[in-house]
Amino acid sequence: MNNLLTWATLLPLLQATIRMAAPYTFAAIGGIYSDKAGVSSIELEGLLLIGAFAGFVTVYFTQNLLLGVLAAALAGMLLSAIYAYMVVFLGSKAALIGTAVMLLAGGITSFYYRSIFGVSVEYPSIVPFRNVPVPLLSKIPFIGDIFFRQNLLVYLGYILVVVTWFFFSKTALGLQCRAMGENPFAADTLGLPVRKYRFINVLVTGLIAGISGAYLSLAASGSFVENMSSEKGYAAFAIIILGKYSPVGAFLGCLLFGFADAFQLNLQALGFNVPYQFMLMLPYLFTLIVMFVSGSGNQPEGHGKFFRKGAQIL
Amino acid sequence: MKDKLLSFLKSQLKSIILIIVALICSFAAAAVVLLFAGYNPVEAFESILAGAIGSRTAIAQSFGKATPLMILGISVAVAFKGSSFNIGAEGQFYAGALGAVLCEMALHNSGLPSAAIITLCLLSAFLLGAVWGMIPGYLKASRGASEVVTTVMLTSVILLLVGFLVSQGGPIAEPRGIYPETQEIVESARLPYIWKGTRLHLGFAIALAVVAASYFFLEKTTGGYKIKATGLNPNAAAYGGISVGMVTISTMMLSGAIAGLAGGVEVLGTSWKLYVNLSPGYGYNAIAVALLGRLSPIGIVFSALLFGMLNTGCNQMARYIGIPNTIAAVIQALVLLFVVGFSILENKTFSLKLKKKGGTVCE
Repeated sequence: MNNLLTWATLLPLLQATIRMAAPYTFAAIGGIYSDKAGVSSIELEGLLLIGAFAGFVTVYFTQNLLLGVLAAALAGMLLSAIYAYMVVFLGSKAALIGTAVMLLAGGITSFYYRSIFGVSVEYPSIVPFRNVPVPLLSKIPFIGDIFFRQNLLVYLGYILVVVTWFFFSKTALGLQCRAMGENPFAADTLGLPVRKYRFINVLVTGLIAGISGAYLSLAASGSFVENMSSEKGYAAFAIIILGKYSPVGAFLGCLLFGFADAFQLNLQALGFNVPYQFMLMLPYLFTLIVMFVSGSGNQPEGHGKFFRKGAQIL
Repeated sequence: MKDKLLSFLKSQLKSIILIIVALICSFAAAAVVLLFAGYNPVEAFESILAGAIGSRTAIAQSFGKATPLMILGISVAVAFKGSSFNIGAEGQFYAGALGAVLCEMALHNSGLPSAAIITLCLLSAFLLGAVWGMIPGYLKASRGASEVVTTVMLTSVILLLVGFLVSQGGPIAEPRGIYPETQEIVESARLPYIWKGTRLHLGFAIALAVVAASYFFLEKTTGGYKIKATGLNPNAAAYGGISVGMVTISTMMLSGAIAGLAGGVEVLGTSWKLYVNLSPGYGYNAIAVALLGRLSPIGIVFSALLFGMLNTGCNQMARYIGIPNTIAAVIQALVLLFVVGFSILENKTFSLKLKKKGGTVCE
């Protein structure tokens, strides 16, 4: 047990934490754009999956990782457009359409995956993103080793957290988006095009969540596996609540989940002899605990409320 | 009376037209998906149809696949009526399957009559399913936690738990330690066949009984009334003296119990043992089944049969002409989207009429 706390065992654990937190970060930060504007981000799971698939296939045929990320973002956006249309314009139940989108992504990805690659024992794979140390920053003791010796997508994640925080707290547009999340009817009175803004926010969610999927297939593994998002989208939904709908809070939540994942992976390396199924259970149990502790959080007032011009909540 | 009947038929007709249009759209969209992959949709749909109803065996198989879908569809619909969204029916199905297997193991050498063993095993499935449904119900009622997320997580947990329990040499794995599955259940615990020469078992009749019971429960009892009242308007229900929290918990318990029963029926009737891939996603298909059936018990019978045929047909298609059977999942997701989309449009025409009269629309 003593070797648990030496730097040599702790460093890989913390590095893995950051690495494992990245897909959650993209998903949660993406989801915040919907949530802040008052649309539930329950559709994340499907966006992750379609992103992972689109990214993988693109890189498999072009060998261009950045093109893969772009394709993943576009695929996520395309799928989120369906969700956005049905929830924002038609007023369907978000939970329902979110599930439909998840099932559609599951069906489409496994159908095309099997159509393209067939059903074989060996997985087709690509060369994933490599770690690129950031000049100067990676030289900082401890911090540099943990945060700045990662792959490019991890750094993109950091930037997104800051940009999203800035957007929602410091820009007029961001505040307007928040206004329609808090009270769409008041926002409408101010002349803001509520539905249009909400629609665009969900598209942004799709774009970023698609990258989260790309992270899974292009950075974390280098291959695509059916249902590889493994409920990370739903975990991100819980993380957003845990982080009280703030980008920085969500990022901290992602680190927590990243740690749970990394811990689970390292447990066996550290000599614990627990059946692997119980290790894999940890993130799910962890999400349940988070849901128990934070419930529905302090979500924006107008969250999940369908907006139609001229309609009033009576 | 006559007018009432006429307007009832009229409203049903609207429903049926909506369903048919949604189905046509779904298959058209699926055809596009098939075309993109370079397959011939006509050939594919022909193959699905032949595989689903082309022979006596095929029909029996379709009915067999419809059995869990029907019970699970009712499970999802009950939750829906109470405004809970149970997408973890898959997990509760496994909880029930586990309950049935555990009970059978306890009674394996008991020599009890077949009817007693079957009843006890199904009861055990029912109870374990209820436990697995109660947890998200409790989290929702007491903490406001989204049941979508909690049911999904609990599904993953039970899948891993079952995976551990039945893994080679695991606690309830078959004693030879070769396969990751439980020992075959004793003959007296198996559901008898009800159609000579096929493998259609008593589970199909049980499913129909569940449908009838759910109709009776929802329409004729106070419990069902409470669930529906809470689903329609929780504030009004609370004002009327209904404890919304308790109803939410018991709704999810009931929904989980019914899903658990489906798992028990599957083990006793079809698989005779428990393993990790027992369900090819029945719990998720059931959401489409419930909504295509517009949450009405009789509608669910038909939509379960349809999806049973679809699943069977797609498996046969994969076997004979090599098109991946996951097209079934695509079609089901599309059906879900179209049914929900069109039913909104149906309501929309209603609210437009109100608007024309100059009134504001209540949300």
